[in-house]
Amino acid sequence: MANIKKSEKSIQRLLTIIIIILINIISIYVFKKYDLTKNKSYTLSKETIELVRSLTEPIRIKLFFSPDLPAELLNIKNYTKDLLSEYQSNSKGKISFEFVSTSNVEKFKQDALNSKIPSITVQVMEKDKMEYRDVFLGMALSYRGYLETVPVITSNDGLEYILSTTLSRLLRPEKKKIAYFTPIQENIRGEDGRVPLDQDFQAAISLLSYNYLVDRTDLFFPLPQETDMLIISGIRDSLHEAQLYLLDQFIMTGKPVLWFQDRYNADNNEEYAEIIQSNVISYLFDQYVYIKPNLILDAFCYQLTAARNQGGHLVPVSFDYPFIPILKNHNKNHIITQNLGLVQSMYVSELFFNEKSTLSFTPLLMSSIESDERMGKEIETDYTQFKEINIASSYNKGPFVISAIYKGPMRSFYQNKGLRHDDYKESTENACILMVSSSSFVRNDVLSGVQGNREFLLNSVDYLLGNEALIGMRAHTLTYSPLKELPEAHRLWVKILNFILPVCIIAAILLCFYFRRLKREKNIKKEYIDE
Amino acid sequence: MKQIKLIAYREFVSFFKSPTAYITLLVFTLINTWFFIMPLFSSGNATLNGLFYSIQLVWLVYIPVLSMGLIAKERNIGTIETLLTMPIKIKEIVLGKYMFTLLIILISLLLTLPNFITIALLGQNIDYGVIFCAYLGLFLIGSVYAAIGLFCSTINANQISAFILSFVLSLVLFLMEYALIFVPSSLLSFFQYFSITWQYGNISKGVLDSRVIVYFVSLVYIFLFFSIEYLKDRRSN
Repeated sequence: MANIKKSEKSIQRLLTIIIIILINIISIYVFKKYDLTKNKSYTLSKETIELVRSLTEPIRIKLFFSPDLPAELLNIKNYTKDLLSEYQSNSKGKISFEFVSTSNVEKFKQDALNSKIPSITVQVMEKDKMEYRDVFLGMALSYRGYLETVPVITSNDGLEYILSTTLSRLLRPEKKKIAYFTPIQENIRGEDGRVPLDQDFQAAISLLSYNYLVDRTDLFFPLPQETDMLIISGIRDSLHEAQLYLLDQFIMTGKPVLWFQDRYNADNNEEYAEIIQSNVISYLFDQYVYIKPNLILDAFCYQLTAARNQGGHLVPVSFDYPFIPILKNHNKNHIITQNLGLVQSMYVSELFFNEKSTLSFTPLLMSSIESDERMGKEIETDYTQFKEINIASSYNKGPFVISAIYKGPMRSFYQNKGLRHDDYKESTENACILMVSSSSFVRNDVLSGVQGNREFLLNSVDYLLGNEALIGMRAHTLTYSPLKELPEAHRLWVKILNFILPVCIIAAILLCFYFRRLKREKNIKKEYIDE
Repeated sequence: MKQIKLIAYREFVSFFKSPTAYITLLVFTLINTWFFIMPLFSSGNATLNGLFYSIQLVWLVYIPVLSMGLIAKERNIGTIETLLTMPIKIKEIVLGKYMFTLLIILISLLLTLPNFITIALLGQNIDYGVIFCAYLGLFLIGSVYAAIGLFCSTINANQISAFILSFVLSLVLFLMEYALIFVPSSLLSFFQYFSITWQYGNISKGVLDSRVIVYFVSLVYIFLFFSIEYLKDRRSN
């Protein structure tokens, strides 16, 4: 009897475990998610929903995911599946997707290569040693005979943006055209007549090429009619008069210009920064786009590392270098900067607004309140001067505007000058210049390393070309929560309070229990004496 | 339910009678506040991520310490026999003690409220949904560790043994995510699902996912179920 009871119990326990395992298995397939994030980061953005609802014909998506993915990439596979399910349900069946079968490995690899999905090499632990393995992590989308691919999915972050922009490209294959100008010697052109690409601008080109056609110009020939936007970066010397004229005339077409213009020639290996004397600066001044001859110093800044001699040994020490501000004080009301994270800049100057100007002025990026300026033809930028100074306590003149949009009616610089062509445009009602007071924003190393700079460049271009939906898609997965600026003394108080308050709460609990005990003892004594 | 509340209340009162309670809470708070406040101003980000990460680590020791004596102490001093012969269900004993641990976990999380208020006051564009989900995730992790601790305390008469076993089991669940590189590809999904850190990652990003809730509730249920069954066996023996 006891044995029967025991085996009944064992069966009952086993059944309980089986039921729990079954519930877990079912929950993997039948689940519900509630996105509680502020921007609904894990729900499709309204721009994506509009896009997939506008589909008239079916889109097929083939997913090429190797079966032997390492753990960190397995997350990507699961997330991609969840995300595509949302696309599918919102498209009302217009989007269908399938994981390409991996049972026949050779056929799978061939299919992937036919669909222009390359393999990537990852490091995995196999048989007690680290090995390299080729895996596939891509997708191919086909629509009306056109094929677009996402060759490699490297992260869950921004996957919706990548997918939606790929879908857009599939639906509207024509891309807008951007010309960019960076300093170049006169008339260096390739055999095809094109200006060679600027390797120092490579990171920016890679970012922009995803949605736009990007080509370099030397401004010696008029820009093609179909050019939608011009990016200018890093002009230090004067332009040839013909170049300046073409630049002016492009602005007079009313098409937007994104301009990264330094005011000083500066480098952190140099001891001094020299002011730039260029006709471009005069041109901008004439158009009321005024870059003040100063360099901004910010207490919230990048740290440099230098060797210091300590007891005969060279020890690396880090110290704040305020000429490389880290910008967090963005215009929260503008779509470009609304959800922008930290942006890094070097040797920036203040942008100034002249009230006589007919242009409107919208600041985008500002330095912190703990910032200062230095002026002059030569400014000492040597890092050794900052080793001993408590930067935060000495700067208090900020914020300074570092980037802004100038928009509105503008007259040609050549209105009363001789240099004119037949198709000369005298003025425009809707000039638009997005000015950034340093070309370091789009340097290859900065763009590769700082997400905020990448977002700023992409947002600026999308905004200027009227593709605000793209910003919306990108921004809804980004949430940047900066701290309000506080003086040093207040910060100390915040730290102290954070330690003291919980101690006070614990002390309050202690007192509560102590008085409760006293009361009980008193009651017992009272009862005892009464008796 | 009345009995469960009564047992939880008795545990609660006796816990706060001892100075150990205040020292434990104090250490918990100071460690976590340190990890929250130190990088706060240098990073310029209004985030509680440092705090959440440190709580996950502290939970590994803190909760086994809280739960190691729940049943083991009763067994050690011999009061468990008295308790088992009383007209009270074993389920109620276990759930009462478990409820007490959950209360302490809740109080511990409430002690980080000044950190949250700091962020709410000094931060801009705060995502309260993410913070809520991260706190919920921490509570769920805590409740799993508490169930493990209670189970270990049930099967061990020695508190130290209970603590060590509970710590090791919790650590296994915690480290599973980091040990996935040693797992063969075919078993990867299986092991990943069991990783408490991975499950926490799914909820702490701000998404309330039924799969995650099912995982946590299942673990709690399994450990409480086996604690109850063990005590039932003991009573019948």
